[in-house]
Amino acid sequence: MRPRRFGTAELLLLLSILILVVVVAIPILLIFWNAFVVEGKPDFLRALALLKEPDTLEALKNSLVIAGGTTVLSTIIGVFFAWLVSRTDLPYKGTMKVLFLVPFMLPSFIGALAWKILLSPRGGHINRLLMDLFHLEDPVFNIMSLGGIIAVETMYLFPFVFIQVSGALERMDPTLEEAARISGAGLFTITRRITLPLMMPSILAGALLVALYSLAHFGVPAILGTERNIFIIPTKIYEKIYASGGNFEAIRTGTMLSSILVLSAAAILYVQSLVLSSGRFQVISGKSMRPMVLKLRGLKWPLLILSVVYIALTVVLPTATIFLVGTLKTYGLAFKLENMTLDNFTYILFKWELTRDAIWNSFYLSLCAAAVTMLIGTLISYVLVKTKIRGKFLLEFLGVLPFSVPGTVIALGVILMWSGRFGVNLYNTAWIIFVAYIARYMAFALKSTSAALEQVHDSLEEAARACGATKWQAMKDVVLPLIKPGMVAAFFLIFLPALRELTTSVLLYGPHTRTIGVAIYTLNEDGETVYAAALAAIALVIIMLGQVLIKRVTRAKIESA
Amino acid sequence: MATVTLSHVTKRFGGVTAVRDLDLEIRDGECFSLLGPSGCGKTTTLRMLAGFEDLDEGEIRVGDRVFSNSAQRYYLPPEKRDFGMVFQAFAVWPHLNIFDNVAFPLQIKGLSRADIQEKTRRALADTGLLKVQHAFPGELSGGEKQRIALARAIAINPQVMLLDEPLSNLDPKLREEMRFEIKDLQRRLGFTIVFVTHDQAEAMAISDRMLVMRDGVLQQVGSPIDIYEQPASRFVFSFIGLSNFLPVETREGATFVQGAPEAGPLAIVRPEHLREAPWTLACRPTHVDLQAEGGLRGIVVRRVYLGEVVEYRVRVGPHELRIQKGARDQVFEEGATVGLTFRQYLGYPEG
Amino acid sequence: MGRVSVESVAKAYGPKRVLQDLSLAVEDGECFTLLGPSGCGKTVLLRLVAGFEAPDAGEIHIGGRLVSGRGTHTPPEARNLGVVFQDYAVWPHLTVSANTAYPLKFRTDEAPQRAAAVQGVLDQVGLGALGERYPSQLSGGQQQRVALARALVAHPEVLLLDEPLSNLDANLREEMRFEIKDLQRHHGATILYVTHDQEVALALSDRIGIQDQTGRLRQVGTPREVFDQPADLEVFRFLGVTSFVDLTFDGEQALIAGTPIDLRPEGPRPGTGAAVGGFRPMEAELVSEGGVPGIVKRVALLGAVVDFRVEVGGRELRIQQETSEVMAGSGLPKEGQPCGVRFHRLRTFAAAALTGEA
Repeated sequence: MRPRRFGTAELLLLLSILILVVVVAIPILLIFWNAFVVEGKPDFLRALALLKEPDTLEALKNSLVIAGGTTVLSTIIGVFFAWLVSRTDLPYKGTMKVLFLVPFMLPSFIGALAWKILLSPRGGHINRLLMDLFHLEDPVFNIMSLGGIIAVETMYLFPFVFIQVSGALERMDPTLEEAARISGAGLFTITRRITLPLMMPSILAGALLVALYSLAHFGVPAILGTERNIFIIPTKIYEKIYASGGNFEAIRTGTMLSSILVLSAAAILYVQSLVLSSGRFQVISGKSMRPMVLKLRGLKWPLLILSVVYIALTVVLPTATIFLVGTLKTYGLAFKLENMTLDNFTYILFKWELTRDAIWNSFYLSLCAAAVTMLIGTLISYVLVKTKIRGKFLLEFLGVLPFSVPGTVIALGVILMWSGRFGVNLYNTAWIIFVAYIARYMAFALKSTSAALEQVHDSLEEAARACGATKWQAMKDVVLPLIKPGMVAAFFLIFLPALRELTTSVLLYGPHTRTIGVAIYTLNEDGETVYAAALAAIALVIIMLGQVLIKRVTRAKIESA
Repeated sequence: MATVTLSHVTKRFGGVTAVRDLDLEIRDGECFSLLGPSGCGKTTTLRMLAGFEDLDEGEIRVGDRVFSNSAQRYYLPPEKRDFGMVFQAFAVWPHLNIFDNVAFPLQIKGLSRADIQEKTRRALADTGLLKVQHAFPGELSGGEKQRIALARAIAINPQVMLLDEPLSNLDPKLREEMRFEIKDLQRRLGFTIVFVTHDQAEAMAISDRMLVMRDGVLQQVGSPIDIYEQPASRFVFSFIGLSNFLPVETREGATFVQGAPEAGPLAIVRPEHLREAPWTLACRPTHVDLQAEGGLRGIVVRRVYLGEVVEYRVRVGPHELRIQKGARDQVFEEGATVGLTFRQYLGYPEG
Repeated sequence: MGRVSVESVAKAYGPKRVLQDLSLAVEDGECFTLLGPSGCGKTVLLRLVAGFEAPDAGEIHIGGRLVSGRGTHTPPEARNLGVVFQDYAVWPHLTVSANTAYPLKFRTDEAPQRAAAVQGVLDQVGLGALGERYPSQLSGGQQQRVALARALVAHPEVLLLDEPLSNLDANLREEMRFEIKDLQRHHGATILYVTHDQEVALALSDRIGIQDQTGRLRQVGTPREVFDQPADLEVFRFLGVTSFVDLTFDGEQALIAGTPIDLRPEGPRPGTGAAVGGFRPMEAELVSEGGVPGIVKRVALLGAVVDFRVEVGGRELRIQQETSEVMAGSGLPKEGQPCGVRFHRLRTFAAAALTGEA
């Protein structure tokens, strides 16, 4: 259009930047400010001294060990199962593929709760069973350990690697392997010299996601580690903030640790972007020919059984445990019908204010956060994708920023910003959680809505204008209907994770603003194992229903489009 | 001796017969094309040759060695067949540089370091890639990637080269050039080529002999000029170039167009092998002459100027013919009545 | 009525000047094609006429009204145009009928008239029975027809087409060419067509404008004029396949590689410097006796024609002859065989203009 100094596009850009600055940038800046600026002057030494304290050092070490262990283990398991499902003649491949994704849908801290019930050294059911059976003195498994945390996190994080690698294996151009075959290479050589190197970017992408997630994760280490004084950075931050009651030094330690978290996350994302953009590995094919499949022969059924057992152990067992424990009248009773009741569930759902509030809060907060984030995300995406003004790069940067910021850090930043500093005090209200959710999930909304907007080629809008529509009419008639599925996807992409999350709200909740995750966690901390399990069971049901609903809705939308 | 023999080869996928009872002999050192529309079975045939697919029936031999035999369930795996193969999407490995790509088959064979160096260099020199041997495929164009694929295939000095639509992903100019390069390579190194394509011009330009396939069935085998001048069936005629088909009837020595008696008789002779009264006249757009008077009468429905030629659509009764004349020949207006004379034509049984 | 006039229009993107001082006029009811290689700016010009972008300088008039220039810019929705895009731009969330009817929303037609108009134009493009389908259920060619129908339904004065046929296969392209021509005749619309495909340009246009890589219009004329009487070597080389031989003159006698030829090359001789003669593949033939001596480098049977690469006087020439002629004569020559070349037509150009040729 003819050059104009200040029009609607510029206004939108400014508005978008303003929103992101307020919601995302300032909280994060405050973290760094609080960590490194003492009485108005930058003081790195003071901050670093905090690091040298034994307990913070220990937390750092544990974080690295756990993240490292989880990543390595998840990668091995993820690659193995991905290869099994995509490149062998394993029976019931299709079903197995779906089953391997189920761990993704379970909140890992609920899994941790179940495993604590089963494998805690003193009271764990499986331990007790084995001790009784084999007349042992000491428990066989101790899940409340570094190893235990690694194991549980792996169970629920390996799908990151699995998805990336199985997708890449299936989409890989089969002629790349056929060319190796005709050149004289057998299967082993082909896998070693061709397939694996080409898969490396996907493997790395998945592994880095696992590392990112594990570093930032609160729930599993909190449930399995805190009691035993095993802390990682997010749980250490929590401990500092809560144990100290908000004292200055503690908050500084918290922000210092947060800064480390942010920097490591940013480093991981940077490495990932390098790996993905190397460009050499464009191996996706257009033609749909079947890739080379290994005949398992004798190993077919054993491997299938192994896979099923794995799923049973990591999914079915914990879920069953949660449901069963939730029905016990008192914890510790044997699992006999006379000891079980459904009263716990009705109590939690309808009678107990604490849990009723938690459920309501979670729904309410997630719905609102999802709706608002989706709308803001759409606006910002529009500016990013469809306008051609200078200064967009700033918006892009701000949009990607929260992606690398762990939930704990966002919570802390939001506390710093909205606890009276700028005249607004949202602390202990639901609003503070709301604001934190928006910051946390903005990146998801941006990704989903930008993808949808990019699908709407400019020519579709221009065609409308050539037919007589003004720019706004073209947006209403053409763009909006076409990005609706993307917007709906963004909504659900935020709603479900927000509903079940723990990491962010655990630092922000007040007496009346618990979320489901927080309620489960605090019930467990208070020793109310049965109620914690019952609420967890209800949460699982809600999540499952939610997934099914989403599938129905998105499939319906795809079919009608 | 690298004669490739296919005997009674059949391949089925589920309920579909992709290749039906194919008998074929490809002579040592010749460039042989498999030509046909997509889905006709040519790629399946090539893949059976390569060993990527087994056979439901039949046998494949190279020289005296049996490579595939369905009755005995014997299949020599692809990695042991010592073929060179070039794929449509090049299949060049992006994580290896050009030298390593080309050296790969030699390394697998376990040759000495010196041998590998020498043979790889030679293959690179033959395909003009010596200068870029340290580059990675991602930095190169489509044509250069195709050369890498060629170099890798000739590195082991194979007796037989299999090429699966290797030029379809290149732009037209490059396609022509690469055709000549492949032919030159063959002349120099003496291997047999089995070439799959759907482009009839390409098949005719490159082959010593070729076959035309349709729905898994062999339609015709022969040299390009034989197939062009004497297509064995209506399908081959239409596939090999632009065509006109006119259903006609010969009775009492006079031939008329079916459904257009008013157009007058055609001054042609019914080919001897056709006994029946109705048959199909087949001719090329360039083999029909137009004149104002006389000939078979028709109406010019369209006239399109295409630069070097002018193309007419002429309606004769319910049929429409495509006729091409030089730009300098007499011009006829749309709507005018014209007379058609058929300089060259073939006849096929009706239906 | 539907006259489009572009006067001294310029457009730059940052430092890149795509169009400079470009002027052209499309007469009412004419089918005008802008032909040029990719990146030459033809699509930019189309977008300027459509109003999606504004020229940096110059004026554009449609139907006698000023739409761009002199400080004004009429937005696309007010220009009463029909536009067909290269990727069809058919809206996936609307049915075929709804797509086609969209332009009528902005006219004050009554509903029954609207429905009738939509059905009418759909019948014209052969989609009469598919009104309730969605674009995803249609083939590429059918989607293109929807785009055409939508562009025509409101009887625009001018129809703009941006390479609408490039995504279709050869057979379909031919068919659609005829349809576009018929539709134009029926509606009497002025067409501005943009493409890099010469065949389409020659077949479809009343006049063609040849645009070179720098965006300049090198020649405007009827297909025959542009093909047969190219304004310069660039235009000649752009259309079809061309070959060149070095020409020398002895008075009025023309010689190639020292051999006198019967033919009189067309066009004025260059004042200074060497001359070359340009010809197209079918404008020369191989002869067994006489002719200019040469060596056959390549022989390729391409079906109806045989394609020869022949070296004459240090240059490689491309000659094509009808297969039946060749077979009726001395048959296919062998590569490396000496031969004679007889030329039927040569156009004179300055050899200096050839620099840059491979």
